[in-house]
Amino acid sequence: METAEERLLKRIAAGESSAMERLHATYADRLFRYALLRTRDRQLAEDVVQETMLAAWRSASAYRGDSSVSTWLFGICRHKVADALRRCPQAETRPLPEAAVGDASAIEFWGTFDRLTPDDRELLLLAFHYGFSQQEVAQVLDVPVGTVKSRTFHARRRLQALMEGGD
Amino acid sequence: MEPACQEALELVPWVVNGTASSEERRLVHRHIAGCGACRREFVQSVVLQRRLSRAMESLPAVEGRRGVRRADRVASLVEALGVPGIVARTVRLAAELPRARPAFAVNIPLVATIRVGS
Repeated sequence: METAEERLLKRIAAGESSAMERLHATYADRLFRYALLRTRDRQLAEDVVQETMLAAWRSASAYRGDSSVSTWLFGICRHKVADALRRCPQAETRPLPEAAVGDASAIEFWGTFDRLTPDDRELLLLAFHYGFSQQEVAQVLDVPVGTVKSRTFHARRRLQALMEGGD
Repeated sequence: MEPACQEALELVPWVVNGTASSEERRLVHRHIAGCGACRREFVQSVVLQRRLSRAMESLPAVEGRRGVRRADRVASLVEALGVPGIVARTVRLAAELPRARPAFAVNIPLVATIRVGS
């Protein structure tokens, strides 16, 4: 059965700008925060979101429903992040911009989270914050489900050790 | 680590985020009912999810810095792109793009490149 978001993509494919606006309203902030954590740069992250939306607009008619719309969009966004990081390879290792990290509790959390590898951070974000299923994370990352489960388990344990003061 | 613990703990993130199947949920709940160490890790995972989500929500929104209304920005995006396939309209709009600044300024070369190339 077709979901509301799949119907939305069909309207986008037909060139309906209000549908595009709806997609943007639903996903822009989620994609931006993901891109910000990956690129560590506000301007790069904003560009990634626009490039993702542009790609969605152009390729909506090619969407076949093999994955959920959110998985499809995050997959596009991840490719756009990779493009941005190829243009600016040092970005991924920078600390988060100071103006972006939030209150004292968030600053403390990001200080610990940033000690993980980018791959670990991405897995934990997709699973624990964005709420993707094992299969969806596997689709976004293009790896087997078993790999997702195993890597997420280890990433979560590494973060836990860091939060408890380990190295 | 016992294989049963490994199996349960690998499923914990998906039980915590609500996407595990009912069979997977039952497996995890049955296991942590009898295994204190895994129960602790389950609780840690719940706490981690809350802390991560709180920290994520403290990050800025996509247009916080520029102060451009989202609807205006999307309208610029859609208007500049035109209906897929109608290149003439896009070319006309591209010629008018300077009025779309500053919200869309970054993407002018991008749009131009894509349309010329397509």
